[in-house]
Amino acid sequence: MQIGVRKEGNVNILELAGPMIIGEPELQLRECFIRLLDAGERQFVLDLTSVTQLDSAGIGETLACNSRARERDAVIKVLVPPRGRAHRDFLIADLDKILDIFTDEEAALRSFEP
Amino acid sequence: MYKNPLPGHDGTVPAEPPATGVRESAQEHRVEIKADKKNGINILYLAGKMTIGDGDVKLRKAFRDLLEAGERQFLFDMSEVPYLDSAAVGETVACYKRASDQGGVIKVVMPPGGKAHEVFVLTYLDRVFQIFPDEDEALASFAS
Repeated sequence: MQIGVRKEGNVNILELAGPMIIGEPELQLRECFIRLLDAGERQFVLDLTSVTQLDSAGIGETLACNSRARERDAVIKVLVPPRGRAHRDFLIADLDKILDIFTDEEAALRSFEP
Repeated sequence: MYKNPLPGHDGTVPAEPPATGVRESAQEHRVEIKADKKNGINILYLAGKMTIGDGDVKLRKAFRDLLEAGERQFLFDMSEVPYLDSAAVGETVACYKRASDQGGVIKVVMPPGGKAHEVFVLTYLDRVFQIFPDEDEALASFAS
């Protein structure tokens, strides 16, 4: 899995591409996210639109990132492709009760505005 | 350096130190899952630390076997789970997703204030799962 990080204003957009699954990919996400938190960043969009596979470890790591963020007064929004598998999986699992889920980057970024 | 709030599987976290001060054996870490059925509800009794490669795999298999057998109502009794890592959290969510996909339901028993409950609260899984402090109350909720 590849993780690209770009910044729009104060918002860090983590673009994940490839399989977000058990092992190296989940560790990559954890390390990348903790590094940004340690650097003082507090606003994040986790862009899963190019994730090709999301297993239970990937879901668990996403929830762990959300917990880490809350502990540091940071905020994560999750971006998934509309009508994509990830979107459907997140909705079926009722994860929209836990995560702020968007299907449009502009809307995700706007949601950070006061 | 920031520590993982969830018990992780990367060695960053913190099992409770054994009371004896002696390192626990691998055997003591293994999760046991027993299945029972009461009032038509399939109860999975989970016992042990649920971590990557053991608890998550065993839960997946036990749950899948029941779901494939046509069972749709489940109670995960996690009273004897001292903690779970992010892989086990993910697997629990994956079970919920598989159940929902088939029109099924999973409820959870765990004592409030325990480490497992803390993880559920921390990850907001308490917004997804109905959690009960004991089995009787959980079973009664299926009837209502």
